[in-house]
Amino acid sequence: MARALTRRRMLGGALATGAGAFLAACGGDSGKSSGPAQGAATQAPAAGTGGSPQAAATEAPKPGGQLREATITQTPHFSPFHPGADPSFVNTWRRVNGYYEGQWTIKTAGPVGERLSLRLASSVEQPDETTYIVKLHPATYHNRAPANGRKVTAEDRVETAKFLMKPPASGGSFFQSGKDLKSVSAVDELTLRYETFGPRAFFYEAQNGAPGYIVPKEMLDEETLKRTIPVGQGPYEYKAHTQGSIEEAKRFDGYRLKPKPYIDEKKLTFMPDNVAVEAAFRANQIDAIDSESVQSVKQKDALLKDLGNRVVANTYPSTSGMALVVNINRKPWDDPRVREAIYRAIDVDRIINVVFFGDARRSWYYSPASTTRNPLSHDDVKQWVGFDQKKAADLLKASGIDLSKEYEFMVPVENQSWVDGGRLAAEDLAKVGLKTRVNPVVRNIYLQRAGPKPGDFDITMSVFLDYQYMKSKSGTFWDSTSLQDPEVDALVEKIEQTIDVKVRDNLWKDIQLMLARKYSNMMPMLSGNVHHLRYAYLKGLSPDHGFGNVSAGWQDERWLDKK
Amino acid sequence: MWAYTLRRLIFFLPVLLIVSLLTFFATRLVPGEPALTFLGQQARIEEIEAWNRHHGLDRPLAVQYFDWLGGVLRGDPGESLAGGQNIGSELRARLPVTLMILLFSFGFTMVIGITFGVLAAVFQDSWLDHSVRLFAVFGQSIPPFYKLTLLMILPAIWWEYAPPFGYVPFWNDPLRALQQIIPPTLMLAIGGSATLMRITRTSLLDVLRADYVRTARSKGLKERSVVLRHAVRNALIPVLTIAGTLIAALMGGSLILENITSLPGLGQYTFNGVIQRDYNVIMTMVMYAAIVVMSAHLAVDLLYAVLDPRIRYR
Repeated sequence: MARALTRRRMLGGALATGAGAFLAACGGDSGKSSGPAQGAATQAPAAGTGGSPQAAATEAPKPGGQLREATITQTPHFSPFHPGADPSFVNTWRRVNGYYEGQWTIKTAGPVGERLSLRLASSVEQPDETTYIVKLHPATYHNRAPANGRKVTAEDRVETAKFLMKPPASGGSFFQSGKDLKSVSAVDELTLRYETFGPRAFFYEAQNGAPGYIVPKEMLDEETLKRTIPVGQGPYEYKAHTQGSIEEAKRFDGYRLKPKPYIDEKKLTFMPDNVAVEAAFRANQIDAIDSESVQSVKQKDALLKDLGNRVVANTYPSTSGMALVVNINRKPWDDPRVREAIYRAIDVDRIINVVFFGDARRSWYYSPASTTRNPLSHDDVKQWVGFDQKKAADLLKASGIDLSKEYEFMVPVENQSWVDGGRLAAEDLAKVGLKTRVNPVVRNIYLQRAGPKPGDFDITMSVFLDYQYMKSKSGTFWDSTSLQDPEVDALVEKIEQTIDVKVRDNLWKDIQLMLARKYSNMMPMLSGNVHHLRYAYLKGLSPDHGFGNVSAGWQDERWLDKK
Repeated sequence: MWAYTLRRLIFFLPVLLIVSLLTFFATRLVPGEPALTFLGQQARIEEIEAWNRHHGLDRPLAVQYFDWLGGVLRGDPGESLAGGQNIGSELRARLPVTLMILLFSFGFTMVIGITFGVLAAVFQDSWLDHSVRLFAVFGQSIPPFYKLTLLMILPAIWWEYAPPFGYVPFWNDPLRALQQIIPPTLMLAIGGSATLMRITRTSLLDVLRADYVRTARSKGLKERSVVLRHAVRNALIPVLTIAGTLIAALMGGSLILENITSLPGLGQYTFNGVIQRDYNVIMTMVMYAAIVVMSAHLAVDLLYAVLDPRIRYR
């Protein structure tokens, strides 16, 4: 959004007359209910909380209305199991609060052990470390043809899981590694039995979201899923869509939690330009704007100032921090002294203040999970890492690195804060004698070069890794960001096999300390905040299910308090 | 003229072949796996290999090229790598949106450009002439994506107004469709019309000083008749040449317009295809663009004869 603000500053006022003429020529459809905003901006709630859930809980939900949302990404097919163009949001919209109801969801906040939220599963038992018995709710029905009105059965889930075990379905490592999920079978009409090859820590996480959905067995082939309108059992069913523009859903009258959902219809408009999303929000053509489009605290403040108490802002810690990565498969980055020098050379606080306007926190931890689980503080790691440019320069000299050479610092151009942060980091590296050239590349090229082992880069950036994505021998994108150290790998495998959540979280703290001690080639820098704004009439959010995204979490609780 | 047109149409074929070859190999020269774009950052090697096999990308390049070419000749450009949709169906669904954008923007470009160009020439050095030239500088110096972005955000900030988002076919709701189309196409037309204004003005000023115009005036013809019947028609030939090239520029502008205003046309489809490295979509859309541009140039050549009866095609 920095782009739009800059343009606005530069040419603010220049087109007022022209725009006015357009309005006069084309008529108005602003949907605005009043003039300029009155009153002071609404205060954002504390980070990690969501709007006013307490207030919402005391009010009786009002049924009816249409929820209007926007996305800057689109998925050009209907399958929940096949990756599309940019599979992030539209499928999320379809899946999480719409057409499908998974077996369970995992809350992103809350006490350890209380994050599993059962949905279609009425109970889960674990008689031993490798067996899970899952009972489904009775009287749950699919919503459309070809399964119209038919009960959701365990057989549907068995067939869905088997479908997920074969590419090109996107089942993830748990379903497709051949080393995790051993079998899934139907014990009776509503009871499932999962068996794993050994203790698997991420049994629940692996089936959170799309891999946990139940699709009618008649639908389970790639082409049918992609081309046929979705058939699920969630609170909403498909109504209509225009490819590349709009998708509409209506309430499913046979939903098992009647009278939910409260909102009758939902409309998602595809707006690939962030400025258009902001314009639509300001004109009240959409009811909420999420972190995809609110890209800085300045933009959030401007919206709050202009729209006043008609809107509410929520601020959450980001799940995708900013980390610097060096290619461990290349010299000189395999030298821990060089990596320590980089850790110590970069003034992260400057990046936070200059690039993020102070709207971020210094991270000493390696995982977004650490924001809520056993976060590492500077005290935990200060004996190994900290800002010290003199020591950084000494380390570089001691390492014997060729300081006359210029190294490439590749950043994905789509993320302006990473580009800006990269430039400041490069300045700091130059101060200690390490010359780098910041090279912004498009995301696709970034993925190509930073992804497959051994990685075609010297220095780049990455998001943080949650520990269920750490793989000791994966050969995936993340392998280029892993230290490839036997001791670390052994601990990764131990974590993967530790079912007890508390023990696992403690092990995760251990592995982070190990990564700091060994100067991991993925160097955590900062974790920003994400901002989400909505009109105050949109109520019933469940923020503990997700961060920032308007569609995060389970949202058949939402309702509209419009007069 | 028919023979000339036929020859030009036959000439399209080798040009299209060269375009397709260049596009095909240029897209493949970019290193790396497009599968990663679609499968995401955590894709495993087996998933990438399965995806490549599924889309035939594990075959030799020549086989892939001739397979695609054969499909195009049969009228089936294949499926999108991103979603598996039939590209032909997408083209048919999206073409009306882009055509409407091109029609409006080209119409505005011609009407604004020629009208004000003529007025600037006729009233040379008047306030109108200076205003038109100033506007032309403004129109040419600000890129279309910036003008369109301002069009979106400034009314939203000042009046909480934005054009209605979410495409509606023209025949379903003409008023809403016009609200969506007119402001951005008018904005898109500014750049092209500024160019046309300057060309029209210069060309008409030349013609107005020609001997036959002086003769027409000396015969006692009214100035309006001299300008409209004798001068403008001859001044339009260079204007028409430029207008033909503007089609390509407007197509590029349409790509930006469709993305900023959320209109699901071919420009948006092309943009997504390029971003996602969707080989089949890129190939097809480049061919489509080549055909449109060549057709526009052919149409311009044929129109010369309409404007100037002395021109003959053999």
